[in-house]
Amino acid sequence: PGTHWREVMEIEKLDIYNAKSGKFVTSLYGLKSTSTILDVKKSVQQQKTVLHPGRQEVRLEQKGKSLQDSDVLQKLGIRSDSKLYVKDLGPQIGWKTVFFAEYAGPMLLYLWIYQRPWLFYGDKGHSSPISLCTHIAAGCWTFHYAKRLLETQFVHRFSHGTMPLFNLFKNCTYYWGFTAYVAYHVNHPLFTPPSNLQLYAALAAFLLCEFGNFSIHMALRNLRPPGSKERKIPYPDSNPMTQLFNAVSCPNYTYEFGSWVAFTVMTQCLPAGMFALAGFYQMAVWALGKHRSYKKDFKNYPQRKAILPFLL
Amino acid sequence: KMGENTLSPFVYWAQTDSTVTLRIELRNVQAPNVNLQEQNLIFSAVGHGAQGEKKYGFNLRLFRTIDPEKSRYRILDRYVELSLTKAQVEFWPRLIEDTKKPAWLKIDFDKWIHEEDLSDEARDIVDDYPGLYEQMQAEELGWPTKRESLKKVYLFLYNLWQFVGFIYVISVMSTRYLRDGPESMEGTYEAVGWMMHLCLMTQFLEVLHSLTGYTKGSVFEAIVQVGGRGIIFFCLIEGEERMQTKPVIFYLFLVWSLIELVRYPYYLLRVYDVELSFITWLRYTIWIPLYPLGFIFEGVVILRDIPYFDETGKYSVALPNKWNFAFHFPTLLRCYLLFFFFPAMYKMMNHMYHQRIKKLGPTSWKKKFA
Repeated sequence: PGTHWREVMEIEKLDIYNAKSGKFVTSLYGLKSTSTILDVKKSVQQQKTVLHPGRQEVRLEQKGKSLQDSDVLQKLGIRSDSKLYVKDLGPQIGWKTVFFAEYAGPMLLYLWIYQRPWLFYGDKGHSSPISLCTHIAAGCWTFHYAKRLLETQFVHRFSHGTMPLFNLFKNCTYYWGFTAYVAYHVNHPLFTPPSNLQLYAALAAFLLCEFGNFSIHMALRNLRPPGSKERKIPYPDSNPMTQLFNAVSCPNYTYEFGSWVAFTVMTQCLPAGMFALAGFYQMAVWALGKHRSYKKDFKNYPQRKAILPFLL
Repeated sequence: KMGENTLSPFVYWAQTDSTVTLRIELRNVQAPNVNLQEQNLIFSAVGHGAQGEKKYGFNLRLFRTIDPEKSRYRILDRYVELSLTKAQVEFWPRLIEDTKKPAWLKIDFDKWIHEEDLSDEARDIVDDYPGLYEQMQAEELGWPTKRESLKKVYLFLYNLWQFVGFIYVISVMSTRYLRDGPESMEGTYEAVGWMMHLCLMTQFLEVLHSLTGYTKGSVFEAIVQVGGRGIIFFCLIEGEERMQTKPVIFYLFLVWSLIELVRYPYYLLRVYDVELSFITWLRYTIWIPLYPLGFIFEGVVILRDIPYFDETGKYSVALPNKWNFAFHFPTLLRCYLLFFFFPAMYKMMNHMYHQRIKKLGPTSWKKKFA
């Protein structure tokens, strides 16, 4: 057969070094110039089975940037006897698994404490009737997390396949811990509900913010076609709730904070307020980062704030 | 590591709130090696510099971290220019971590004044720090500015005040013990509690020192240290009279004072960049017996106070109330003892151990006495 001017060359030997220690680990054989980084990772896994590709980060320099799975060796200038560095990212867990643990946990935990179990309330658990406010709060909490579970399954598109296992432990502690803290107070026999006016007004606000948050998630989903890595500036669509994009970069976080403020007003419960603030702090950090990266990537990025219209 | 005989080129630096630029004055650079790490910059090259055609190099530890991935450099005919992106948008009072600046590192005054890459919202950052430009120019030319001297005087006086306070505590406690033996322990709080109160109140300033950059060290660490002691003293001891006459108070105050009697002199000297190797050794060694003892005595105070706070309900908030908020102080104390006490002690010891290695080296203290 005729040879094309750009031949597929054999890469006889590729030396793999440990990115953390800088020491030589092993050599890989039988790769080609058209092989990808993913092929390199699979080859590494053949020698060290515990290192599945999702757990590896491959770099050209010891402390260099991570290479993409789809990068072709020839395009990176890698030839036989070239050096590559591999970092072990530690045990990984799929994002979807993490989200289910983080959302199903709080939902079920709250519903359990709603039953006023003896473990939290002792014998006084059933000493007073459950107020309408407490019922509604349980409904809202369940609705919020059920919505999140459904969105994780059907709406969100994740850019990474996995995340480090330690994050699961850290995030679950946060979510489950705060759930128990808030649920304990709202479902307590001595819980004092606010006026009905306050209850219903806050409930309306809560539902509005939940719908707003959902609208933003849908808009973001439609922004990027499946499988594409294209980044685009989000703009409002036909849903009036998405108008908030004109004011902030991350309106989903704005609506989420709104939901929790509404929940706090609905229950007039200080622990719920603390939960809202803690969530706001974390979301503000994410929003500011996202906002900064939008401004960096797009020269014509519109005048917006990150999370609070006109403020932050 | 850079050899001590490596020639250093002249390096001029400037910054915006998010970047640091360096200009290395070397002409006709060959075989350049630029190693950009998160907080280190290692450079070497052959080129024509102040000492003629030689090999030049340097190794700088930066004030804060940068993002090596977003930083770049270029080699030009007459100099090498580096543009480093800071990991966090903030102003750096100096380029390197060390307060002592090498003579070959200079400020690029031209770049400082003529900001070319200002975005719409940016302003000349010099306006944010009135007097700072003058201060840096003064430092550059070798005169200590008035503000710098005042700061040192303040820190010196602060550390001196605390040192004197704890000397008083130890002196009174020792005198009473020498006179009355173990029977003196009961009256410890009565005799020195007020001075402890004063010193521990003033200690909250240390958080401010860290926040404003007057001292090195993390704000979080300062908060944990001062906050932890604060809760023990102001809530658990001053909040419960029955605790104040227990012998553990004598032991606790003793350990706290001994720690401070080493820590404050060390800081006193450091204000004027003086280091006595014995004091440094003490500072980084005495924690080995004293910190665990401190933790244990604090634990004893907490443990014995739990039934008292159960009884008095002090610092606790009960339901029902308007804000639907309940707080049970004794439960918090129990949780601390059960879940946080040992991990916290381990973390603290580990942290001090690494600090010790960093400061004294694994066995270098032996060499200091050789």
